[in-house]
Amino acid sequence: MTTTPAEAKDLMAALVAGDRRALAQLIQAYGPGIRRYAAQVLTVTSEAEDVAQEVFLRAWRKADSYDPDKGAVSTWLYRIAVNLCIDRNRRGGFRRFVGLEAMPEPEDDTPGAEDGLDARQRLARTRKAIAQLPERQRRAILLKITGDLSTAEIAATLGTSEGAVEQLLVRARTALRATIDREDELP
Amino acid sequence: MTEEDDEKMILKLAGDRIGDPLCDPGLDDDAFDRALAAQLTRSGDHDVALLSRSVLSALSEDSAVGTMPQGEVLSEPLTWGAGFAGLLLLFAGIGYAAVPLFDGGTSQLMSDMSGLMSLLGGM
Repeated sequence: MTTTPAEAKDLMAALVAGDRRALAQLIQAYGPGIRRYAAQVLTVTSEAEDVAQEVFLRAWRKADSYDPDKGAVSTWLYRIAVNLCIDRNRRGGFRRFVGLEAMPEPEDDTPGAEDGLDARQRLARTRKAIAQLPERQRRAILLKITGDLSTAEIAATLGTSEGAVEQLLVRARTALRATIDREDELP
Repeated sequence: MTEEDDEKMILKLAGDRIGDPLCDPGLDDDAFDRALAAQLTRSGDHDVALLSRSVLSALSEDSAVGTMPQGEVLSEPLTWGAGFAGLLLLFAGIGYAAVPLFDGGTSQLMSDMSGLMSLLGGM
């Protein structure tokens, strides 16, 4: 289901009025992308569902703070997601440092048995390459590929200029191509 | 492994590389992004039924329980406060009552210790 920016703003207005069906539609429109983003950014991938849930709970509770004149709904939601992921990783890192939490087990988020070894290897390689990117490049490229955000939306989400986002994306793609190419070289 | 096995392995790896769109140097940026997105997308990604249900359930629980007032840190603040003040007065009284029992040396020691404690407390 594709929701236009104007429809999303109408849904936000309905959210303010307490319409839970509007919330369900927002989840339908933006939930998959936000969950995919969280799954790639979080140190513990299994927390992606929790983070996605928290994003929409905050959207519900703070719906009246959304200003349609200041940006798109997608920008507002993804900003919440980006900040929640940063907090979650920071808290988790501190807890693991002091021993309150065990190191996360390697996540087995492979596509599924029917997809075969090739797809699993490619996914692992791609995830590793993305994880090696500098933080801002990683956030920019993941917002692009998981949320399909435009350059302007990514700029608004990260609080930077469109030009800076373009630079981040160019560098991220260059680094990813080099890493993936290097790891795929024939022996 | 025989030479034939080696050749089969090399051809297989070459096939993998050729079949992987991300390894195509001619891919433009949009196509590269789409290929990345395709690799990171899992089957069932678009199914948000569980997410939707968990969010709406959490909202229902919030409505049922009601929001906890931010000020409820202590259940009975007056009682706790009075108890703390009472303990302060008790130990102050014990301290004053015990002063005549101290000789000069002990008194000086206690004075020095209290000075040290106040310094540590100030830090």
